[in-house]
Amino acid sequence: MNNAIGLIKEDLRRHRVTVTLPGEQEEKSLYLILITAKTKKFKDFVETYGNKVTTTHRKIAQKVFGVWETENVYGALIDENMQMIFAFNRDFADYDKTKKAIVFKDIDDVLIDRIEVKKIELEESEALPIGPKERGRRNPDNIGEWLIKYSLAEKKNKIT
Amino acid sequence: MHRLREVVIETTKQCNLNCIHCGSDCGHKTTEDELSVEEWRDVLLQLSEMKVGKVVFSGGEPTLKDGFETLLAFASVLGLKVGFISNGLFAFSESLQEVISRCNPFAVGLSIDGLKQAHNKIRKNQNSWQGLMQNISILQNLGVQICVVTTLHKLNYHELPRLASFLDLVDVDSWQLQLAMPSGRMKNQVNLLINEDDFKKICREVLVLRKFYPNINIQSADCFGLAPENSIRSDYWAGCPAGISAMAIDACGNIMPCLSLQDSQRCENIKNKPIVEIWEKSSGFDFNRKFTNKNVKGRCENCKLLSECRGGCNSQSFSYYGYFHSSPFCFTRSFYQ
Repeated sequence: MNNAIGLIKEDLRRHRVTVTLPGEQEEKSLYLILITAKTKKFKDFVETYGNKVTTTHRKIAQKVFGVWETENVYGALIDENMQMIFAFNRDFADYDKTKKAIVFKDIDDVLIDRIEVKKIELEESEALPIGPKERGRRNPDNIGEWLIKYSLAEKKNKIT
Repeated sequence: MHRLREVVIETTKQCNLNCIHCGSDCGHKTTEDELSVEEWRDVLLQLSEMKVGKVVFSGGEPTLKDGFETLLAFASVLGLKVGFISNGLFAFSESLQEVISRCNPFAVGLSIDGLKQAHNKIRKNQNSWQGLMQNISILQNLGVQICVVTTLHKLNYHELPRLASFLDLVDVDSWQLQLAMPSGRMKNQVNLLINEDDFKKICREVLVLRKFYPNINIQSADCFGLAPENSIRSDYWAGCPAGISAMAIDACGNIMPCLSLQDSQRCENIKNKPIVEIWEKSSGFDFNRKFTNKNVKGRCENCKLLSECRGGCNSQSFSYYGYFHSSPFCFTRSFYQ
């Protein structure tokens, strides 16, 4: 199989990159290859962003990525000995040729980019209720609800 | 006799942001004559004696006020139902979190004006969104209701559907929508104010979003004018409450019918008279208390439903036209008349 290893090495030369790995100072010469695998994107998200992940980020990420396995594309950096040195999920980071570095996407941008806008179209008659009617003289204590600027709405039926 | 139910307190004029649309033109410095914590404590005591239902600490950025935590805790001890509105720029300190946890506010408001890019642009601060995310986590961990407040203008109203989707993912409790008006810094940016067509688009969007996101308590503020119940807001609206059931106290102790009426209508200062006396006797509330249809000119003049709402939101009316009782925007006028 030595021939095969030689062929692979030859092929890998096309993927050689110079990179300063996250947390390191010195440039390295490595091979960057892409690998597709069925994995949990949510888990990658948490692992990628570490202590930047707030409860809110986690909540959104669980909903937009799901907790099940999906197809993910990874960038893998390997050395001359075919040892994996670093890997990243390409949804969250990528190799920047100009910077010669792995550049991570902003955590908030990653989530916001995933927000789906539901296409909602209601019939005009359904959307518009019957118009308001004159109620005449009211009980002065029946002042309804209001929401002035600088005040706050309150959810009254919140189950805690 | 009018019963005072809600008071908005301008805790300080100081703010750590410089938002495009700030109706109070708040800045980085406090003014010298702002009330001290002791003076605010006396205000809160008086309000509790008047059996005021709800007190909202606003600003400026209230969390910047030295002693804010003391005030929040004191109001709560007095039995007042409290809430506060923050821009959420910095994560709430541990001591504030502890006070929030003890006071159990009816809601904490966070101003969100769009998704990250739009929000940071409007807030003129690249870290603004990041702070919000931290504070949403903090408040949800404390089990406190979050009310997102969005002020709409031409830079952000197109984002309503995406913002709704985001707020649904985050699980906020309430979402308060209000319209920017030509006061404060917005006076110099009138080109950003919405027009009638924009208003109709916003209303249609709100109608749809309220149906589609029933878990978010989406409420259009008074500036949307008269509307049927369960349309753009849940409840029956009996017109502008300024001076009828609500009032505001600015950072220097001036009482006014509404914090948005700072340019037009100040009553008296709490340093000169007891609040109850000002509330009962000041003529500064008469424009609304002694309303008759004869007072009305402009857009609402011939409306058949004028006696229902008294011409809508007075701060909107005054900021646009320089007089009261003529709301520039009204759901009923836009869709039924």
